[in-house]
Amino acid sequence: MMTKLAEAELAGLDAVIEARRTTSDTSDKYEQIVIPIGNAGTAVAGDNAGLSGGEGLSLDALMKLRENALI
Amino acid sequence: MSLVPILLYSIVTLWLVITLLAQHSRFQSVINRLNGLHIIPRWTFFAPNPGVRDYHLVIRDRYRDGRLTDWKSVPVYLPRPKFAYLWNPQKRASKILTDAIQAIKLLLKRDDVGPSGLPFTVPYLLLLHYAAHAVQPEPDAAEFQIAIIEATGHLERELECSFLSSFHSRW
Repeated sequence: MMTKLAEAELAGLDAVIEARRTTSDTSDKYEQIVIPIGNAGTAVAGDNAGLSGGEGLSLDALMKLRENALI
Repeated sequence: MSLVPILLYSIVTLWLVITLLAQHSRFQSVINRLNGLHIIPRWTFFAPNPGVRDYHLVIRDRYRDGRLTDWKSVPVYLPRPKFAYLWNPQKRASKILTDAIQAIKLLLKRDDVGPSGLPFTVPYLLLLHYAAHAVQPEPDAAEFQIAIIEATGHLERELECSFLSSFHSRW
């Protein structure tokens, strides 16, 4: 379920994210129990269309690159 | 006994038998093909580990001079309609976002995708698009970034960041 964070929690997120950078992995105990609808949660080969990078690019640019790679 | 109760008993009994068979991996593939309406439940929906985590999608902007805004919560779960127990199609939208989060966590671990290939995957683009449009950008913001935060507990929640995106241009 997705909910909203309280203001105080949002204000403390930098520390939470910093903790993520300094630990090797996060808990994934429960990730397998989610039942996807359609393809939204299904990972298949070629998901990234063979592309990598994308930092700094806009959403439109990312989608265009993906579209072109799949043609 | 009239024909109607016999028919109803038969349907319920058949439903029960198919439900029991569907729990076994040997029959799952066959039954799944015929389960287009998703009326055959699986025991794994709630067990053995019921969902105890809330997912939060957050976003922040970065100005041209490098300053960052505060994190903002991306509203995903709309207030539950009065008759949601009868008809609640909007639940699918939030479910898709939850699925996208799960997919991102799986894709991060895949050798052929991983963190570098993730920005070109559908789940990533879906979350990025939703967050960028659900929250009004700060004036003059040049880039934005999203993160997935997981919360456990109720009164004293523990937060954990399961994913932090790169910065992406707003324009």
